[in-house]
Amino acid sequence: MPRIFLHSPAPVLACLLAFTCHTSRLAAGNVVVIVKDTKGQPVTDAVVSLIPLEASAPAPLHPPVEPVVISQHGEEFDPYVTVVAVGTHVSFPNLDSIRHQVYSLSKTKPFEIPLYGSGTEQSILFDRPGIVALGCNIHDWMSAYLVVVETPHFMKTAGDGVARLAELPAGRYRLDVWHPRLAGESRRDLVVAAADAATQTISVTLKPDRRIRRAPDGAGGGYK
Amino acid sequence: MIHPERATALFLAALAWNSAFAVSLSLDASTTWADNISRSALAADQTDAFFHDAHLTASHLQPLATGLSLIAEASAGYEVVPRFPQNSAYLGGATAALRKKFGIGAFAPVLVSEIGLQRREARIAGDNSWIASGALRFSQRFTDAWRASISGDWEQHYAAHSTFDVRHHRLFGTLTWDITDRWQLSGGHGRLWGDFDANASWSTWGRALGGLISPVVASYYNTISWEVTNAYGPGWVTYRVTGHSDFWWLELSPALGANTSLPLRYEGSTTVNRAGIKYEQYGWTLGVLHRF
Ligand SMILES: [Cu+2]
Repeated sequence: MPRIFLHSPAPVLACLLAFTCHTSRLAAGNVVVIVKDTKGQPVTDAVVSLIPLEASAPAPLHPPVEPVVISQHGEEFDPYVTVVAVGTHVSFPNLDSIRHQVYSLSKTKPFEIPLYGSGTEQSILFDRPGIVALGCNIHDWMSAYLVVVETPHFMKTAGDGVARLAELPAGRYRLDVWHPRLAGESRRDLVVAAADAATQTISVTLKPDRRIRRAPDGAGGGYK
Repeated sequence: MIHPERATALFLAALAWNSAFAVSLSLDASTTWADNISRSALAADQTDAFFHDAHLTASHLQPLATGLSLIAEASAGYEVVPRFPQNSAYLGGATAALRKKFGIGAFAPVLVSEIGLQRREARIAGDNSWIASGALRFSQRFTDAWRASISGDWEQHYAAHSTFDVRHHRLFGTLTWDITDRWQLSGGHGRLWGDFDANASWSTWGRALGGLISPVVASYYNTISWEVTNAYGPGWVTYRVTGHSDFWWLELSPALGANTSLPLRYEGSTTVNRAGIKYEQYGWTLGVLHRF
């Protein structure tokens, strides 16, 4: 889901000054990031973010007015990985007939939404950058990640392992890649030139998938 | 008698119920190769056979408050030993469990207390019974892959004949290792105390009662309930004794997706009755567990 252009009235207001808009477009570049694992296979759900290194002032984040949605459906979170800018509200609608109890124990944003069924919406403000691991206290296998970034330039890779970041002001950036199974850190510096389209191919080492198993457990043995 | 059309209609009704009321329906079917299925003490009497069973369970999980859920289940099943059809039985019943989680997250310890009532309709008339049960289970996850539990349970059979009026309790521990997201290895060990039924051929039983095995056995066996059930052959006797049983198992369970697993289990037990008579049993079980 592309979240490069954050829906907010701010850019519209900014574009009232046609000249400013024109200048920024001229100075914008594009970066295509391809994330692959060590076998060369595309990596889905990798979060790619570009943090400007030279800006005199922090880039405005323009969090969306409407909350970003992470739903519970079929006793799973959907989507599994979400990336938002600092200051974004996220809602957790329950689309199941059973109640859920969503929580995070992560330092970035610890919270707990008490048991709730369908039709109840509660959104939470994510006001600090970092990784938030989400769980459900009723269904231990349910897990999802929310990545909160302090930049307006971010995207999640699709099934082809590709994330396209557009409208980037020219300059130096730090390119961060995060994935739930990433071993270690993946970051590099790059320069974005105006009216340029650069492709960055990043190879990451992924750990085995260690999610809590959902398949039914046997009754075990032991004679009766 | 179970009619296939009625069973299909019941199953479809249960599936409809399933989608409407957050009731999850699951099937647990297995085939066991049982070594000494007759639970006989003497080598000459020990009989091996296949044992099949299938159970359909409808369960409803109702979160009541933070950390507290009610799990209500109703199940129906059938057990059969094709070589000795005398031992087949229908089972149906219900359980109610309270699940208390102490804290938030997958690593919070969980305590489950459960009570149940089952009806057993057996081919052996004396074995028709009501079975009351209670259980307490404490489990703790240590990592995404490792968890352990300790269980205590109690069971009382109110049978048509006193030979089948068994009452026992067990204490056992289970360790589970999710090797990968597909493969799971688990094992357990425990002990049962109380009554159990065992079987002997007519000639062995005659010798036991007559003191030809030992005077201790004869004096004990002359005080217990027994009857001719023909369970494992003409003239075979089923008798109820008191003692204890040490049991263990090892289970390898691959998951086929999120809702199905195929556990393969090897288990054994050594049971000793009050007169010192020992029964060894082993079994290989291949099962399928599926949540609809
Ligand atoms: Cu849940």
